[in-house]
Amino acid sequence: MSGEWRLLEVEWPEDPYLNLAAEEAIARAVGEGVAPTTLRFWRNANAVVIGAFQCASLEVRSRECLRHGVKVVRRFTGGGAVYHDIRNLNFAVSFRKPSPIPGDSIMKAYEAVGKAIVSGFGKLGVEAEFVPINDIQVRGRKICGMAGTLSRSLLFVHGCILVGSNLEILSRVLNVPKEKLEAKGVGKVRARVTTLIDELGREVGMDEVKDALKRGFEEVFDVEIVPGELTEWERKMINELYEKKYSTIEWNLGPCVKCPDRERDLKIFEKFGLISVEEEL
Amino acid sequence: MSARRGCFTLRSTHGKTVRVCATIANGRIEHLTITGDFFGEPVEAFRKLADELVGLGADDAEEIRKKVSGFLRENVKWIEGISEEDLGKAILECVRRLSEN
Repeated sequence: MSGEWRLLEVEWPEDPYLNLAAEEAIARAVGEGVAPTTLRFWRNANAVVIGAFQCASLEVRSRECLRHGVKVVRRFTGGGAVYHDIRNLNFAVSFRKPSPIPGDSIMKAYEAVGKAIVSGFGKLGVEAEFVPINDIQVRGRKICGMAGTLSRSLLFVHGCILVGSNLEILSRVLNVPKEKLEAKGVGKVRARVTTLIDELGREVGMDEVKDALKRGFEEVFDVEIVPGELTEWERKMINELYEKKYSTIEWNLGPCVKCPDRERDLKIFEKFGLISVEEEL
Repeated sequence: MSARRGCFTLRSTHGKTVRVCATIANGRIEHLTITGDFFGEPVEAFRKLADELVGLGADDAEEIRKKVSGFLRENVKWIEGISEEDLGKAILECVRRLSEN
């Protein structure tokens, strides 16, 4: 055994902005050395999470989001837009550098974390494989996607697992570029994804999935993962990041803060109560 | 002369996508946005790069190329999923297509 990790199960399913603030706060705490290596499990109830370099108006179908009450939030890592509902499980692993990942490489981190997820799926009876750069697939269909970041002292990977997600809503709200679908050899999003429940052919509870994944991480990283709590430092950072970053229109507009099309994005963000912290964009 | 707006999407052989949207008016880049599902740090640098290109002549490919490579070299710590060349190519192609008569 090469050490102990903290397990956090903190979530605000109805508030994806708070969930993303917590995601970054926990990662920062680990990077700063004020919290140990941490595995977090959490869920959003009904949200699209776009990558740090994406614009909502290009990645989501605004009308469908508004119709289905789907909130849109931008995360602090790159990668593509994903749909989260309550039957989707998110995980995040924060390492302080130097990490157990060779060379602290982000690509090797996807591979190692992917190996742990594949191992966890195996315990449930689902045979999956890691597909570079950052996907996990079952029979050629995506079941889990990952994203991550790397800074001076932090190596961070998070991802989402389609446990029993509503794939119809997913395919309605995401606007995947045709170039991406063509590269994957499929015409529609729905044909490209699957869920754990579909693969198992039975219901599976979140606790069962989390336990299998936890054991997968313990095996692959040779660690013991023990339940823990948020620290006071993290709670303060969550509130700060929520107020100054994740609940603001400026952050969520991302690269489109000056786009001619930003009116479409503003409609989504204003509908869910986000406010601008600047008088004028 | 009226402004022309449009986007160009490039699927990289490194596995990810970069999408550049621009507005060209009076032969100059009036607005440009770099988006995509790639990875990199620092996040803000890519928006700053887009701002840096505003005002350049749309047909001055050499100047755009120089600005992009210089900026990336000095400001971007790492980029994965697309290459620096892919990013430059997507910007130039978007601007070129919008400049065509």
